[in-house]
Amino acid sequence: SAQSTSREMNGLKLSNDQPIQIESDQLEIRDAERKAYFTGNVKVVQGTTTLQAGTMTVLYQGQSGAVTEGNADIDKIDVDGKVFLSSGTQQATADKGRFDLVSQVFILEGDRVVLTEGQNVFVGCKLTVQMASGQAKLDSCGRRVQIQLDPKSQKQ
Amino acid sequence: MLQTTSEKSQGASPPAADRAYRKAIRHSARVRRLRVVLPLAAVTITLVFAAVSYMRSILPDEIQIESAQLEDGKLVMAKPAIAGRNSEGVPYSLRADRALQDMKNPNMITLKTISAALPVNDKVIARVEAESGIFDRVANRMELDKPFTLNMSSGIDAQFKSAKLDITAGTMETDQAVAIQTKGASIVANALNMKDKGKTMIFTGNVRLNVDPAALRSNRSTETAQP
Repeated sequence: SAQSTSREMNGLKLSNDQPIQIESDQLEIRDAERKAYFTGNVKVVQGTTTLQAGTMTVLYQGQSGAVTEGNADIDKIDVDGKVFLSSGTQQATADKGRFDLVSQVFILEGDRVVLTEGQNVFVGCKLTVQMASGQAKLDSCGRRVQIQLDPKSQKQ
Repeated sequence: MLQTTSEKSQGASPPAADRAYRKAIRHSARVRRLRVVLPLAAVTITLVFAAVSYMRSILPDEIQIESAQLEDGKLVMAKPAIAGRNSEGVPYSLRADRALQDMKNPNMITLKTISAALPVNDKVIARVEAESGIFDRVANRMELDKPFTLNMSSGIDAQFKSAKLDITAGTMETDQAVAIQTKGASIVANALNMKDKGKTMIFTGNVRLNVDPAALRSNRSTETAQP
């Protein structure tokens, strides 16, 4: 595929078991559609990983009535509207993202997906992270992946 | 043939005539009394009947009460219990320590110390324990103006400051803080609007949701583990 850079983003090992705190201005749970719409200053914190976005839509499994019956398992999470993801020394910004908790992959996309690690900055259009391993791949979608390595980091 | 009293007394000896005469006097006295008593009885019976049916009409027929007195224009009912079925025929029940009903507006019943079981949808029943509430009999709506707790039979507990419930439609609305906990998740928000019989819940204002996926999953696995 096009040039891509793969990095270890161990901080982004989003686990499906750790407690999660979600904050937002509004939450609408539509049980019939098995969806929960978080809107307005959405912030999700799990361990050292923080995700912020304008909106977040959670699609959960389980038959209808799952939420009111308290046994909903999350299937996919879509985030939109200026997405910011940070964990430890690594951060990423994008236009939108999708977390597929079944395949344990999350993808950030946008005109400019900027991945920074300490002083190093990588810009591409699609960041794909394997949640289990934290393995991350940044694609440039045809454009050159812009890499701006901090000279200091070379000497380590 | 009906003998006139005068023929009978002439033919009989004086005492017989005397006895017949006295019997006649008693008879007409009784008639006179009856002429007064009977209408009176009829009137009282209709009055009682009217009162009972009036009482019946202002009290919901499905209400049972231990006792009721009228105190300065208010009907005070002890231990009222109201039961009925919502639009889907699922039964709901409402019990209180006391119920006050203003004669001028008999459709609104103020309830103290309420315990209610309200169907939210065909699977989930919501139990409400509240300090006080105003029940609108006609619109089948309840306003809980004091803090109360709500427990959904699906294992969800909630605490409210106040709320308006539409029992038939299964909707609930509060513009004050609400906190809800289920096994594995808890949420707080400044307001909640629950519609479509609990199928849609809109939390607004500083929504904080804590999810413990492991607990949520074990909650389900214990369910599936059951025989």
